[in-house]
Amino acid sequence: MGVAFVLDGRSVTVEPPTPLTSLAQVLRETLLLTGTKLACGEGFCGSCTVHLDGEPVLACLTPIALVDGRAVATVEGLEPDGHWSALQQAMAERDAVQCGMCFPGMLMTLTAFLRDEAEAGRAVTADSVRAALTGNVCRCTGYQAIVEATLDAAFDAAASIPGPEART
Amino acid sequence: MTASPIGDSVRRRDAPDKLRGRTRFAIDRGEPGMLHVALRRAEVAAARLLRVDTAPALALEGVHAVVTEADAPGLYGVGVADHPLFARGVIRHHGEAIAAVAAETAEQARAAAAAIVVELEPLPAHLTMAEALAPGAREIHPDWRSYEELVAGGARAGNVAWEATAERGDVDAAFARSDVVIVEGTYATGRQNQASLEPRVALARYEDGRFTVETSTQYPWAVKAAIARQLGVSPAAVRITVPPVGGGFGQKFESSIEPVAAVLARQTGRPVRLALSREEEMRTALCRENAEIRIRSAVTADGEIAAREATVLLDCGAYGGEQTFLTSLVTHTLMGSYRLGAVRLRSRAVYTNTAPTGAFRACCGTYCTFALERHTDDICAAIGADRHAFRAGAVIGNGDVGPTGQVFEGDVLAPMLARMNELRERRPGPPADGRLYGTGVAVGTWFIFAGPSAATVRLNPDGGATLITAGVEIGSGSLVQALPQIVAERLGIAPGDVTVAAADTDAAGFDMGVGGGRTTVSLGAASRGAADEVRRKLLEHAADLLEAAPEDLLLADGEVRVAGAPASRRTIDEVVAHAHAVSGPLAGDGSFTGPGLRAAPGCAAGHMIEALDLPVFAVHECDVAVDPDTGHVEVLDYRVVQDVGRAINPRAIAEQIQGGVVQGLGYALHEEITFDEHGQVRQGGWESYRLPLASDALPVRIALHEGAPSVGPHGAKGAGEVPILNVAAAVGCAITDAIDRPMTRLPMTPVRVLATILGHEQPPALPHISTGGGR
Amino acid sequence: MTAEVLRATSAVEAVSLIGERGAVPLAGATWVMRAPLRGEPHADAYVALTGVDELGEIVRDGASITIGACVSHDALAAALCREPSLRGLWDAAATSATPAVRRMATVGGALGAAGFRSSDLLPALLALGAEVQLMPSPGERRGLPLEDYLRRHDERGQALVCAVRVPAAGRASAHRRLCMRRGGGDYPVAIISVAVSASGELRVGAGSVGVTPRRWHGLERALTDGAREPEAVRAAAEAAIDELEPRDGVQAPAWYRGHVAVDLAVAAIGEVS
Repeated sequence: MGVAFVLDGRSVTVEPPTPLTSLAQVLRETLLLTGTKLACGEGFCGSCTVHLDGEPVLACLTPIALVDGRAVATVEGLEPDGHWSALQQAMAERDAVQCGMCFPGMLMTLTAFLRDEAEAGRAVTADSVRAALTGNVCRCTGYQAIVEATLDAAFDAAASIPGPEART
Repeated sequence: MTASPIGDSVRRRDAPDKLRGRTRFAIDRGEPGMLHVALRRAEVAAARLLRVDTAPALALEGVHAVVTEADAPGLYGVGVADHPLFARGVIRHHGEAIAAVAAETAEQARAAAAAIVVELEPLPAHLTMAEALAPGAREIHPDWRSYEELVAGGARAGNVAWEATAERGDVDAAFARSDVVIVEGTYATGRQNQASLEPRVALARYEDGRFTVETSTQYPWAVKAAIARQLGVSPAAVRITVPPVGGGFGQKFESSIEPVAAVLARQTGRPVRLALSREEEMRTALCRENAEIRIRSAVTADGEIAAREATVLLDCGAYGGEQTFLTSLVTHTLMGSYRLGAVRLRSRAVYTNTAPTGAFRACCGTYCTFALERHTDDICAAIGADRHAFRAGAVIGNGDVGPTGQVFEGDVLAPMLARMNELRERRPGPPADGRLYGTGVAVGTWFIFAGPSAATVRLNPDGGATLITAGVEIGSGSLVQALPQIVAERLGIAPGDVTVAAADTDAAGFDMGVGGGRTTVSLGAASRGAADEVRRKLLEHAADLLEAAPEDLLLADGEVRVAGAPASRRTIDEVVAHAHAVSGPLAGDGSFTGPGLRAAPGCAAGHMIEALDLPVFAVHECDVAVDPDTGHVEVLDYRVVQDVGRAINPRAIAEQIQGGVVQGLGYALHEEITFDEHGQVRQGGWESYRLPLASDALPVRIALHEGAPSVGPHGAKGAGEVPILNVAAAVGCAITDAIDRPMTRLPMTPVRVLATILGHEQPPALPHISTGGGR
Repeated sequence: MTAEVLRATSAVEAVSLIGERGAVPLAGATWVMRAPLRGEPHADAYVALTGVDELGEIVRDGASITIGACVSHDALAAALCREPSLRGLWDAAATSATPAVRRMATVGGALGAAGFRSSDLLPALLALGAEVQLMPSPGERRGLPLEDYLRRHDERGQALVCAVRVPAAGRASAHRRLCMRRGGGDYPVAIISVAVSASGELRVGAGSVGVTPRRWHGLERALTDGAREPEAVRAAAEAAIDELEPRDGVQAPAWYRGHVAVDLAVAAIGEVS
């Protein structure tokens, strides 16, 4: 059974061990893309978060069979033109990273969050960032630098395009 | 001239790839031809192991080897060698490894592990320390007398794996004084799982008669020694390399799974990978141990603590492990922080039929500080003292004597408490929504596990340097921030021009591991020593070139200048080229170890740490709101004053404090481990094990206290371990203040807080431990 | 044994595959994918419903809203944000589990996951008097009150859950849940969802307190006469708590679930009264 999908902008076809093999396992073990992590395997840590047709989902709970014909984006595809996103830049400037295992999932969750909030014209607040991160576990940082970097990125984005006040 | 990089918040160099998903942790690595391992584990807590038949597993497709205890003859441990790699004749805990299978795929390995035939005869299990210590209780290690003692001095008997005692002054006389009030308390605290996102994982090869193991560890030299010991081979035949580590928090300070991968690599001749599942990590992690504490103090009306005595039981699980070592630290934390007239302490690591426990950030310090500070608040209530004023007057200061007779230098805690008073002024007020409001303050004493470290610095033709140590980057940043900053400062180059080699025990000298807050201190001092040797050689060559005396030279910004003669200068690479022409490449070695302070004669027995070479102090305070209907606790404001000696990288330290406090909030409030009737950990995954999430965290307000004495480089102290020390204490004191009933157990889940409010939960009775001359 | 995932493009095709192949419906997959962690075997065959457009629709017909089985919690919350009478269901959809799970897990999954004790949607749907729309055989449609559906879970056999229909207008509803972490992210240990019709009829749904989501009839009966002051509600809830059969579980003991269920009931009923 071949499963064909678009991965970070490129078409791929894989022969997964079983149709219920998780997308996370296929990414890591078949495609050797280890940016997507697999820490808890039951949807409670968010480290495997990827975008499926643009929406953040848990790759550990996504059977590969349901990915056929769809588009997957991973942390490895976050900078297709070779430039860091504002969010990556803000994380680096805040020195937010520690062990780093949670960051791929954090970035995928927060990238979509910032996009959705900007599209909806909603202000990004510390509380809304924290709520969006419910389900992304970080064991090192205590989250504060991650939250602040996300606010920085939202602020930078809002500053570059006229829009609602992004930082409260 | 550029400012020194010491005190500069240099950014992490490993962040870019960690933010691109390119960093390859051990869990992300593999090799062509690699075999996968599955463990067959016990499903009972205690049994005689009658028969293990591996033949059905070996007959299955894809299976290359099955190993059992016969393949790993050695016993290992920290204080006592009591732990076989695989169960040997007896099952001592649920989840204990009985055999391991290497197969072509993980699925084949799991199927083969399940096919192994195991015959057992169940034994009654001791799931609690009370059961293990009951009169006539079955001995979990009937052969305990024959075990090799790796460290001498611990008293051992039956189910007591190790006992450390401390005694100073006449305790009985002090308790008999007519002018003292006697305050007593009992406490019981739970386990905490390290829950690093990267599980324990190792990839082993056996080539040219040597083992090469790439593993996620904090302590490569310990893994090397453990493999040699368990497999009965020379340590020289073992090489450990370490990629970036995806979180350790203490669990990876001890070797556990690496020897399994190594023995299977030798057996199969193939690369072998063993990665634990999250469920295995939840059920068999070397958790922070559960503990039971009885403490009492004799205190005068004006707040003098005439005597303090306590008994502490640490549940080491089925094997002694780190807890034999941690019994020492109970003395320095539970009996620390305050000036005490007389001291008596008994600290016991107790065998139970549960998964072995291990090291977790600030280890026993977290619950000892919880018990001590709750007890301190009880003392304040008993003598009518203000909690802040009492502490300000009672904390140890310059010239005060610690529990084992060491004399402390410097007034540290008192000025830190004063600083906390300033932080308190900007706190938010109590909520006006019917919740109960309270404040808790906690002081704490911890230590830097100084120990031996080696470092080598090489100065390269490009004028940059390479730092070679067995240190590993576990996320704290020490290896990518503080260490290159320290080396760069000595060599007059930028921290970014210092390459930090990945740990490889074939290349780097001995190091006692990344843990115990020791990296910046011990590896930092060794690195500084190595850089000093390079600096000296560099300046000698420069003096030669510039025709000046070495002492007249300035080394900064990548060049050597003659003081007062700005035109006389050479770049470092020019000096290196000169050295290459006349004497060869420049390198230096550095080494460090702690001074090894001893206890006063007769004060301590069974202590692997008799006195604190490098104490470190912390003051935490928080305000909480407690929902009286649900027992839910909200931490409204959290404040930390931490003794850092000298801050090498202030922002990195603040990040350690923020992260450590939130980890401590998990320990204090919702991370809970319980056992079912079979002795299995009930929390099998992160659905039920409640780690703090972003919405449970809050921004911690932080003040760094600088200037306390330290043997560390530039006066630095380790800053990564201590942030978790006082959290359960501060929160426990605050909840107690809010609900006006004593919190005596950890974690303080909503269930437990509500039960305490309703009067359903009383302090633990602990009939099996007394403080006095009894058991 | 490798499971097979079949594809359906219509509800009729899905029901055929269920009947002929014994296939189990698969939508968000968040429950099915965790079967091994629960120690449960996978089925031999699943039928993926993601390609069945008719199951992904939310249809309003004046008096009611019909929510397709493949509608995710997230999509449901987005659709309900301007339906004041369905505030309780909105809360359930918008706060359950975690944001990522809400994007994946579906209404049909909540109905199909028989062993899941902590669903937020089910108590909310019970309180609203929802009806489950089933397709027992290709083309045949049948409505069954949710309460009956849950009671006869084991007998649902080969029927496909196509949708739930919820009376939409003239109600006030509220949803209260309690997790063991302040910010949530874990499954609640107690859930109380309530709805009051224009005529004052009160329905209460309870979840996670006992082993299955259920109506809290005893509390409803005690409050039929309209006296819904907090103290009256508390007394009635305390008197009727045994009906919920509070359970001991890893996250909380029975006494705690019962205790907080009373508080949640007081708060939820207070909100709609």
